[in-house]
Amino acid sequence: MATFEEQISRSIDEMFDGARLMTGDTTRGEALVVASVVDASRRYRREPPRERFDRWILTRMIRQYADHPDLFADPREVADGEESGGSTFTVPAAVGDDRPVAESDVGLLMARMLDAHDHEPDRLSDVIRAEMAHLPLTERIAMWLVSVVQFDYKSAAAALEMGIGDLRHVLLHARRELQVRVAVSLQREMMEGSRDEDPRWTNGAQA
Amino acid sequence: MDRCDRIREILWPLDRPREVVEGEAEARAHLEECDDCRAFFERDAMISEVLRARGVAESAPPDVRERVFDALAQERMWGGSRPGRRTRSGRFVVRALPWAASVVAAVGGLALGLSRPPPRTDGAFAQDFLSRAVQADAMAMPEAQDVSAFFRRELGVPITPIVLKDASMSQAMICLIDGQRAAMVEYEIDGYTLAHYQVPLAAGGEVDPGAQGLTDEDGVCVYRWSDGRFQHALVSDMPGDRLQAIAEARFATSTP
Repeated sequence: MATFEEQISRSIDEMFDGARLMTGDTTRGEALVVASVVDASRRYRREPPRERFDRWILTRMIRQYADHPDLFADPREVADGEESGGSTFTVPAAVGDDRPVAESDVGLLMARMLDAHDHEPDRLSDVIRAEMAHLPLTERIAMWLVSVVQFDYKSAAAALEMGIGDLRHVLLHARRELQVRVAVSLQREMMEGSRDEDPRWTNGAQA
Repeated sequence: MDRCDRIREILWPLDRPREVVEGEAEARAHLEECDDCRAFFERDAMISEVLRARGVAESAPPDVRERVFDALAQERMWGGSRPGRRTRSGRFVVRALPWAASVVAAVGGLALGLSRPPPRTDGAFAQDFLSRAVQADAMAMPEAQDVSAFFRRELGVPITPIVLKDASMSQAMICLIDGQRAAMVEYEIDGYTLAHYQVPLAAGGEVDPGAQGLTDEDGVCVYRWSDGRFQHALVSDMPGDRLQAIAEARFATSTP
């Protein structure tokens, strides 16, 4: 059986990635990883997890964050949480109501996205990751768990201590918001003329 | 919530296994007819594909790995009660050390009896940690006082390299023995290479007396002893009797 350290070594990249996404900052992210590993090592000695280690340790890290938002969270998000009743992970009240965008507009911009996907996949990847970091806390963690580290719904819902129905709701909100954000970001790039030299973009903008 | 939103909730992710919920058949029928929902799922699929393909945005830097394993070592030795954190300074050389890796593999059972799980004897995990977890932070051609400072910083405990007659210190490095961070100092002596490993013992940890002394492992000689604070091992390609003589001289001076 692999030692605790061995398993941490295998999971540390995912932990650091998730920690940075949660905290919005490399230093706070590192502190969260270290605190989570130390806490997990004590729990592991008492009783090794029965579930997959990688899921267990990421869940422990999310719980560590939720238990100590004052230590790890972006201060702006702590203030937001206090305004909304202090809960760390929240379910949006209504899907999409806070940011209505016409489907046709998003669709048009998504044509740009398709083009970027074909011609500049790395750039598109950067944009998606950057915009994911701007989603509200619960949404970005849910999206990361399901889309990046491939948690199933049951494990993701358990990590966020919510029901699967609420998780679906959060994810729909996140997916919709992310589509809009990515589209707007790509559009902004075009408007700023960052692709002036590329006929694909300039022709597309005029079309 | 309107119908499209409901469909977009229950059918996602379209291309991966998911729990089927009530209304699945209806939702699929709606998807066949609704251009907006199909377009929504296409965009979703592209974003998911990009996120899945990219995986984590960036690997944890070596410094972060170091601090994580340092915190674990502190936790193991001091129960997390030791105040303060080390800061990283100085210049370390990251090198591939195949000889050292094979030696560490040969002493994979070094931590026997440290009230830990039984060690693996094939050494595979030690090599794995050497190459991936710690990435072999090392000091090349070091001075003794620099080595002491290096180990104090890296391991949080004072470790002084031994002085050997007619030997020159060639490098000092941090390695992992059976998952535990340890110190290794390498010497050159009459054309042989000799490595001295020191694994901090956990508080109250006991060492199996049967695991001490000279052994031949995979063609290299290993001599183990303990001084109550550290499990030591000398590992070398030199003849066993010569290694034993060196080790017993050290054993005599370091036994409390």
